Amino acid sequence: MGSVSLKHTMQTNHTILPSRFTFNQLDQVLNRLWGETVAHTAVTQPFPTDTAVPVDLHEDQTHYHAHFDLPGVRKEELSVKIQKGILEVSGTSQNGQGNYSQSTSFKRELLLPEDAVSDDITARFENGVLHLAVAKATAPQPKTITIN
Amino acid sequence: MNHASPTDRFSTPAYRLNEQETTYQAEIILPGVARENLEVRLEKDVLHLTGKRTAYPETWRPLHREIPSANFRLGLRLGREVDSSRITAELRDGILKLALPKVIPAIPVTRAIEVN
Repeated sequence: MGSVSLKHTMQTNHTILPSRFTFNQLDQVLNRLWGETVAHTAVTQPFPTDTAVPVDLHEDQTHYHAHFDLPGVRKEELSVKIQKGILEVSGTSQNGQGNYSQSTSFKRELLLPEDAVSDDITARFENGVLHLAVAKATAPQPKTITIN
Repeated sequence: MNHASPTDRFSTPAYRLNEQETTYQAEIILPGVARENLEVRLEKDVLHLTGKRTAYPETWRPLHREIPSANFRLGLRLGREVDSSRITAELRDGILKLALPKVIPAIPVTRAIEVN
């Protein structure tokens, strides 16, 4: 990390479908609080587990950890993509049988921190919770600008 | 550190019930609960359910929390029409599916009784 202070810019773009409530307010809260104290104060109310995808973010010395609550979703219904530093978890889940069959789509995006190594990610899906571990770069990568 | 999963806090899990011809079905939403941390117990006519979420390692620093950390507790009172001896439970992908079969009504049997 060196002299560069570590910024936690894992922002959230909530585009959960279908959504019973909008996340605009939540995003404002997150943007304001995203810093040292966001973890404890941002969101404490329970989410409707059947429509929204709540996320927990942690870090340790070597990795960022993201947990997504996805009860009832099958592993094969899940898709995890990374593009331009944005991590996207999405899928369509089938519930019920026959006439009572219902499908729910969900999508959640996270902007990865600058020191996240996007090609070093492990994913595990267990008990309806998706755990992604994103490696941190071992040393800050200084940008060299060539002077012509 | 307030991110350790507190063992003394419980919330009621979301659940769905539906009735079919011969059975009731209950789906209880229990994300993050491993089979070994789930207890289902029948006490008289109440099905007690306690599920503990897998806690995060204490060395992890929380950056953002949305997932409620409370453990799950639910009591379901069963009607007389449920045959509690044949209840089955299956935990998969964070959802517990309970099959609560209805008592099979005794089939009236017509039988001639021999008179000696």
